[in-house]
Amino acid sequence: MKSSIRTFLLINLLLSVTLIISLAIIGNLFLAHKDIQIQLDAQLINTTLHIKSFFSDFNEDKRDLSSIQRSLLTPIDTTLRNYPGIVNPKTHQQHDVAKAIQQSQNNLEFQIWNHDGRLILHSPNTPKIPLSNGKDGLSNLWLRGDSWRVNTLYDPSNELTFMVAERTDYRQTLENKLTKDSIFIMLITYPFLGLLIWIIVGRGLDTLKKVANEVRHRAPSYLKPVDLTSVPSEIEPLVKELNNLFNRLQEAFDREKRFTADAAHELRTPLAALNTFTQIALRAQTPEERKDALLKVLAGVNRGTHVVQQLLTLNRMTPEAMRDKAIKMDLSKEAADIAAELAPEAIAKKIELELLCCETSPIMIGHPTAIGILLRNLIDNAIRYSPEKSTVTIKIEDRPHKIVLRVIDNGPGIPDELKERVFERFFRIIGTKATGSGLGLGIVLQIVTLHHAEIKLEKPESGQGLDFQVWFPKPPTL
Amino acid sequence: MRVLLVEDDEFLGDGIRTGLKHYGHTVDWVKDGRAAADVITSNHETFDVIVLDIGLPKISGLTVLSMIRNKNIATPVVMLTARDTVEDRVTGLDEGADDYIAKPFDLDELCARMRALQRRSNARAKPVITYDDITVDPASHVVTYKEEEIMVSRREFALLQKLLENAGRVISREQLNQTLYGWSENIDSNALEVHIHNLRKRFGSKLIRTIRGVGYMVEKIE
Repeated sequence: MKSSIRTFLLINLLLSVTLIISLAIIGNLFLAHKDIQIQLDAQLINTTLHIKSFFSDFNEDKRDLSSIQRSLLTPIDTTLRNYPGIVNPKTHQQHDVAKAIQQSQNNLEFQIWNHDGRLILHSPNTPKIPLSNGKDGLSNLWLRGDSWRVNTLYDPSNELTFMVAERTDYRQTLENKLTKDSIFIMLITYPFLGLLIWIIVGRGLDTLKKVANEVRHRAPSYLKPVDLTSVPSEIEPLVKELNNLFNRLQEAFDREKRFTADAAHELRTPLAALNTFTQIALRAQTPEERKDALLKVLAGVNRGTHVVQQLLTLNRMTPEAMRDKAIKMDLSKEAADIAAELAPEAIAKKIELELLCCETSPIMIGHPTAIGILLRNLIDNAIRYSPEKSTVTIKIEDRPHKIVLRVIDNGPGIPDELKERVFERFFRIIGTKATGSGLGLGIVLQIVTLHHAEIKLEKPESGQGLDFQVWFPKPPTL
Repeated sequence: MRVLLVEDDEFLGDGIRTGLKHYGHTVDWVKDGRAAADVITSNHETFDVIVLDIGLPKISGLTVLSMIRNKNIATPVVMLTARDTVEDRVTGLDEGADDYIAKPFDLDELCARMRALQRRSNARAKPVITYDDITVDPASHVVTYKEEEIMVSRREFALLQKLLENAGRVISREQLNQTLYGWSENIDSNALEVHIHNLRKRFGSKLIRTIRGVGYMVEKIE
């Protein structure tokens, strides 16, 4: 089932409340038990003292107790005949009172013994044997299948012993009733508690709904951050993360938009030129004019092809699109191959192309196709931007933990303030005469990232040109 | 007509210049926004139409446009652009462009749009220019005199069109030379006189009046 904060809180809060209330009831019972015990013991002692006080000047020979005993043995209904409500209960309350009287009649017993062990006065149902062993103080007794509490008091002045007993299960009943009442109250308040929790939690979660609504009603391209002022502090981290995501999306979105605009420009401009030269060729008056225009068309097609190829390469050089696996490879060998491939272009510009490898040929882990493209782009750039009769040097260095590829030229270099921007797709330095797609360094950066390598753009020792360095991590020696 | 082409792409710029020349226009070409702004705001240069690319180095085409419009220069501008969303077109027109053409485009269409702009800037309703019994059709480059087709060279056509369109106003020699040659070509100092002479021979000596030390004019017909 789908997890719900509301259900979770409801169930757990109700369980917690049940647990706490149960503990409270148990604790209360324990304390109440002690209190009731003390209270009732005190009452028992007081009752004994009251009875005793009636016999303060008692002399058995002078006073006859038989009439009192008789009256004690009279059935209660006769005694209370002036209380018609109790003898013939009519209302609920009267009924309850009558019932309580009936019950409490059997709850208290007393005995008064004289000095020679004769029972001189007693309650109606008391047994004819002493309720205790006769020692002063409180004791317990098992009588007629019930447990009783007994107080014994000896009065030396008249040598009488008073024994008063109270049924303890009556005490138990009282305590049980208290517990039952508590549980009953808890049970009837339970649904209300549940309802309250449900409503309160719902209210608390309303803000979440508000945020969800705000996000739900957004247009796909609306990526402004959610306003944090009305968001409760608990979900602020979530909303903040959401806003971060929005920002990243916005950046990606902008980047893509810029890319599309740039790509459109980069593809449509050569197409426009192609269109123009084709029309010129069609309109040409002389064969020379036509040939000239057609040569331009050819050059334009080549240029467009190059841009399309670079665009495709750029898309292929991502980790997701990389088909071949990274393998152990020799960078010097790869560099030598590419240098050989590009040598004719260098020779055409009278540029000296040299490859300087370290003696150990360091092994690196890489995607050979990608590394080939990286080398071709860097060396091609160097040749393209170098003046005639200069030197382009390719160096491979074995450094601690790193393998460094350096391509050094004597071209115009890259001004410091543009060092970040040259890697942007379609970025070209203003006034650049050499043709290019503006994608080469973007592709280089993509490949460098793919290989977890780093780029450093330095000035060569001669002070003129560019020392393009790629620092590859060296694989751990096996 | 004299066209200022502002295009940073060497290849496309070369194409447009060659193409427009085929259509008989004089084309001057600058490759960035700053140079364009300098040329257009200079007092010595007059262009009939400016063809302006939006994506330019240094200063963007839109900035150039608002700069020249702020200086009250009303030369018609056709924007060239690779971006062709409605939003882009609206921005371009609102910044003061008179027309908008998306790459890749057709040379015929570009020229037709330029002609339309020139017609509008000269407050002319009909595409064909009529003066007395001379007609000049900029679209077909056909000139008639007394209902007969007259053959004129590309330069003489441009000169005639310029003078007839500005009938009643004196056009300086400098302006006329610019219309015919732009900057690039070596101008023979007598070339203009030669062309004027040829036009007078064909349409009568009274058509073009010389204002000594200033330039030439065609009188306005009331």
